[in-house]
Amino acid sequence: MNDSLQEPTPADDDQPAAIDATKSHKVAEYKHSKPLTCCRIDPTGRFVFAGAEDLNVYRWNLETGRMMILAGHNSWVRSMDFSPDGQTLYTAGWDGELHWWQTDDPVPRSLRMVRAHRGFARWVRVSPDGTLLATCGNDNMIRIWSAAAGELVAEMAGHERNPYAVDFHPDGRQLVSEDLMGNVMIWDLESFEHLETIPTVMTGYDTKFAADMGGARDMRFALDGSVVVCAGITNVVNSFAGQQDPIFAVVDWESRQVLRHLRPADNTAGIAWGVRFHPAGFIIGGVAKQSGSGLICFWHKDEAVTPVKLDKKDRKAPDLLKRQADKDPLAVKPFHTLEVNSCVRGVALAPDGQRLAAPCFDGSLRIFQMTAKVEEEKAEAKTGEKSEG
Amino acid sequence: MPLHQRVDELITAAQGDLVMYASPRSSDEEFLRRISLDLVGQIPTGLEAAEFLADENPAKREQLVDRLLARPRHARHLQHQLDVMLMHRLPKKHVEPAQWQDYLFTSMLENKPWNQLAEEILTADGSDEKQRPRSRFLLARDLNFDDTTRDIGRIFLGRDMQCAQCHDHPSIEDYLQRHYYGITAFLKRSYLFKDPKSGTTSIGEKAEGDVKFTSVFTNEEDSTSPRLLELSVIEDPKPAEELYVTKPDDKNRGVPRYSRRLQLAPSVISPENADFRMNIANRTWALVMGRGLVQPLDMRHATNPPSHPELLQLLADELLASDYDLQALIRQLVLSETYQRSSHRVDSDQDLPATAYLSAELKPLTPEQLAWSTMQAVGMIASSQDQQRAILKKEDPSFDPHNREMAVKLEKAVNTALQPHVDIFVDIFAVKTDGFSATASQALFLENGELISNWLKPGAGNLAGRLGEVEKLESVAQELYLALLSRPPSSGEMENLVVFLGQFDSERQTGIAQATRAILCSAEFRFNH
Amino acid sequence: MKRNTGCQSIDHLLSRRNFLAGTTAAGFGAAAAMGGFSTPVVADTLKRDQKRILQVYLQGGVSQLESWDPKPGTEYGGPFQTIPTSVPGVHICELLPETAQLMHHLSIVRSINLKTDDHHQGRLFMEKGRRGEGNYPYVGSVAARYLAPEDSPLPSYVHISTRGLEDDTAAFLDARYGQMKLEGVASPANLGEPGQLAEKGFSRRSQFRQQLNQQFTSRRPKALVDSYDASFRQAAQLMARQELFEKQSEKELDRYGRHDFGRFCLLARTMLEEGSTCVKVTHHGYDTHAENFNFHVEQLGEFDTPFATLLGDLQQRGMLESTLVMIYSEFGRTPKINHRYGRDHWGSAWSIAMGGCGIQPGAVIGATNANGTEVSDREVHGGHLFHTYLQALGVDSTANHDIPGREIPIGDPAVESIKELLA
Repeated sequence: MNDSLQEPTPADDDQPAAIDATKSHKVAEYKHSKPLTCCRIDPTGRFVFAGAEDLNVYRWNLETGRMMILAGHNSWVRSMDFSPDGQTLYTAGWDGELHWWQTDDPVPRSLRMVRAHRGFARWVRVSPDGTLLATCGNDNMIRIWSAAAGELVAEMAGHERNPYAVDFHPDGRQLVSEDLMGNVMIWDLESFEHLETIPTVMTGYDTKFAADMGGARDMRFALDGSVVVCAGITNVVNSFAGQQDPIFAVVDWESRQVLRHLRPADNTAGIAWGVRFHPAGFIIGGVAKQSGSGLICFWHKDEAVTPVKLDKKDRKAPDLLKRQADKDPLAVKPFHTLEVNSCVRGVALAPDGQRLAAPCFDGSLRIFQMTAKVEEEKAEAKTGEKSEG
Repeated sequence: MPLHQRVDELITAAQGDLVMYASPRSSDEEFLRRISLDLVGQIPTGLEAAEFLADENPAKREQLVDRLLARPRHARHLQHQLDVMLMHRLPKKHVEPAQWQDYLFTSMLENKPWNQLAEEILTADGSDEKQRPRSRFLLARDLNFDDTTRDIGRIFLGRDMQCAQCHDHPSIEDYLQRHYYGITAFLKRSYLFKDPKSGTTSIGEKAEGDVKFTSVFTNEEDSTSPRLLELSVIEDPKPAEELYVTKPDDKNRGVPRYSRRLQLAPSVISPENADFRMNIANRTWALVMGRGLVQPLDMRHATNPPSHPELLQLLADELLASDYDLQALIRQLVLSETYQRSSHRVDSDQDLPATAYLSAELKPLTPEQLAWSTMQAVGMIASSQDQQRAILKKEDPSFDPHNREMAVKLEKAVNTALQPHVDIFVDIFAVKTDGFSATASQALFLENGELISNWLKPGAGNLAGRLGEVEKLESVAQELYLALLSRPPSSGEMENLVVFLGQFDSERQTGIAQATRAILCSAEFRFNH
Repeated sequence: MKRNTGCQSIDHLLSRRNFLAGTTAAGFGAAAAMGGFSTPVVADTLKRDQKRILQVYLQGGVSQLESWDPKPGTEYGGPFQTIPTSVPGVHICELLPETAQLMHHLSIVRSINLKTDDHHQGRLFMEKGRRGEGNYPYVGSVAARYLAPEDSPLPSYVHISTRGLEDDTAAFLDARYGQMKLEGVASPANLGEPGQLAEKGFSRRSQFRQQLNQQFTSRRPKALVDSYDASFRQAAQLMARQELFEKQSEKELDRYGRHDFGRFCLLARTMLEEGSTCVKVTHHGYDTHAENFNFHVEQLGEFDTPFATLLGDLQQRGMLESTLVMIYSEFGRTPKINHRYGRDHWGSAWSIAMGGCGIQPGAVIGATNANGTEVSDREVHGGHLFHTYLQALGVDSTANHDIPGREIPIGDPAVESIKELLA
């Protein structure tokens, strides 16, 4: 379920608070004792879920703040998704397991477990019509499951290195995945055949330590399916010390070209962990900085690339340039940035488009309201009048 | 009393009873080769060797020293040594190494005082086209604060304070964390600036910024203004209305009215900073003696004191008094009896401490010395000199190599012509760690490498060509030893070599090539002794 | 540090023959005692009794929590699961499936505390069995010294790596026992023509050179010249065996893997079979201050198959009982996970795995507490391990090095071997 699909819900007879990303401010924090790895807000807007550096998933009631533990996995969870009606939660864990949960279960327990992958199950995504689940994992496989019965529908092999994330095209006919080497692969969902591979700069080989780093830490299609954006890294300098650049690659669906690289305003080192399209026409990205703090960046959806002045020797190796923040001809800078005191490890949107959630290293799940503060007070008063439920 | 005698007095006094194991004075052969390597970075020609050994003048050693010191080649040798000491063979970055090396060469030609050289290097910012070469020290390190702080400590102060980056040095009490950051504070406001028009990188500086540091052991935080070791803190002056001469922006490198970075050099070279002169005194000693009075050269502290504290102090004071005249110090050191001792042991079964200076140390040839000595031995230098002399004479018929300026010109021309060969040796023999490590790949290069094989083929006027014309095997043997080892063979050695050559019958050239190669691969060639 | 040829070090080396004439064979391997006195019958025994070491160095500090001492589900356990091994009751990290099936050939020590978190210090301690910069030989050089036959056809201590500094490994031992670094599987340059060694010209020249050196050192300190000589001997050995560096067999590469580490392991097997006494292979890098988990997936993923193949091959060829195998780093990694999903240096509670010659297989020695934050049982350090390696190989590590007039114990006299680890 793409949680940016929902239109903002007007509160009673009042106008909804006007979305203004530049006025974003923190309105709530839910604390856990371990660093968080991911979070999602359910499609009905009642709960926020977070994975952490432990074996559980945590659910907070957004109104009461009450926390419940979803126990069942044997490892960390870094990806979750919901059925379109919001009733079912699917979690993918680094134990290779895929679990089913009832979203609002008063006493959460796992309803079904499927061993989805050997090694990490890195990602789970629900098809637009809710009938299928796609997962990918460290056995380099993509698997399609029936959401209702948990049966294996198809297996797609082709990635030579670990795939990190998958997403369905909104029309449900194709699936996209990206791996450690920055290869974006497109799959047909009727034949389950591999259609095409789009190389990106979202990878790097660290010569100092002899290892590759890369992969999509998040991946999202725009509502209209016109582009898909992948969050990850590029320009590996010293990845064992965390020195590489966060990057969000925007791929045009029709031309299969990488159109833009969304980057933070300063040329900071770190990792891009989360990305969302906001219906109001901007893209939100969550970044963990190498230094230990975090960023939430906002880019206009169709922002043109900032022209870059190249010198003669740069023209000879255009591909290399795209990795470097100050020379990237595809670079787009944000119109607004929120500085966060802790590494941001993802972003999630509330269905009403008013709030976004960010899971952080300090164990705090921060909720930000993307409107001006004054209106927030009004909205709070409104909430107080609403009946509970 | 001349310095070299005072040196000998102090050394002998410290030897105590061990003095009975002191080696005798080196023979003329030993001395000739050693002093050539130590002053001009290469062995003498066979002819030079024969002449020196035949000379009966009792003052010939001192005269040889002065002759060698006067040659442009001496400046070249010091350039090699200083380059490695200052740059640790860092690859090219921002500044062309050849231009930097030329700057060092020219500085040594004019016997630039060491404190002046240090000041130029530490104040260089790369903005001035003419002075840009001297900025390699800072720019090749990308002005990385940690690398630069550490290297300033090691190279200019004789202290490797690397561990003091995170906490007071765990085992060395005198290396404190604030010493480390005190130096960083000079640098912290500076940054690399890339000119958008020219693309060149130079150093700019802001007018603000401070250094804070936290000990990972105690978690205490502290801060410091620029401060060199235990000298006084250098506080900023009251800021003027206008902080900048040139404000830093995208197009301009910042030039503040008051530069912290420019305070570094005066602090480092200040007479108040004893470490500066102790360090260079120690390094100069090590250059010719083969080991420092403080060893390792960058680890002087209370629990690693100099082996001869009074002597080190004497040398340091001399340098200060002479205005840091390195060549004058070198001259005194090589005139000492301590330097001129033989490397032959009186009793090779005794385990004698190197710190007693009872015998000369074996010093492995540097890659440059090895390259130039090999080329000298096989006649490459002589033929290059002939070539270049002819070219220069053509350009200017009045060319006279006895004129100093023209001698420099000739040396430069030969140096440039033969540098590519030197680079090959540097690739194979340069090591990152202290001490001698002989690898199989080096041995394979010497044994089988094509570069040397080509040099051993008889050609116009080279060693192989000359020897091929010589009739008597005894004469061949004599000339081989003189050319390669700078001495005549003993009678036993003569016999062995003649027998060796005789094995090749009519294949005289093969025999000569094999003998030459064997000697080039020998320990006697590989080491300065 | 410059090689110390002053009074703390030894500059007088007698040849092994001279030494052996004046000592008993007690405490030293049969091979060492017999060197120089061999008859054909004895020569065969020598070959059979020939002891070796295989060192697999995981450079940078492999995480013990992601390898030999996993603690899933604990506070610092990280996301990986454990898998059972071929030793009942022993579990290791899921990242080592093939090695797990061969655990019955290996043992684990889980209780190392080096009291240092420094790469350089950790490495020195693990190699020399002594803390700090003191002038002591690496275990590979010690093994080469006391186990390599006089007529070893290959350099007795070889290090296969494309990384790293030139280590001074032989200390006061003869330079021929120093590590010879091979640049991975690359054929060393300038090997000359095949068959060149046999040519008269070359051998005459070689003899002549050695003559010159003997004369040169007749009244001069020998250490530097011996080191230099050794490099020529090693060069000659390589020249004699050029085929070792030719293309590796496709069939074998299928089994070992075609990446660097796979090739290195295959070359290591060859070198051990062909006569090297200690072969060290470095796998690089494990210093995962960021993305510890993804990088361990990658690096141990690369390590597992080639190592297991090598171990299996040694066993099948009957070499394992005479070859000590060790897999080690310079330290482990912190239980605490930092903000970059990384683990930092951790010398105070980590593990090593070893097996083969003289080692009790299938054992787990020592333990860390539930969280892995400290050693809870049988704390050991590099000194204990050093004794253990050598005792396992039949070398009396409590004896002194065989340098007459000097008393330098081979292992640190303050500690002993880990007796329960010895077979």
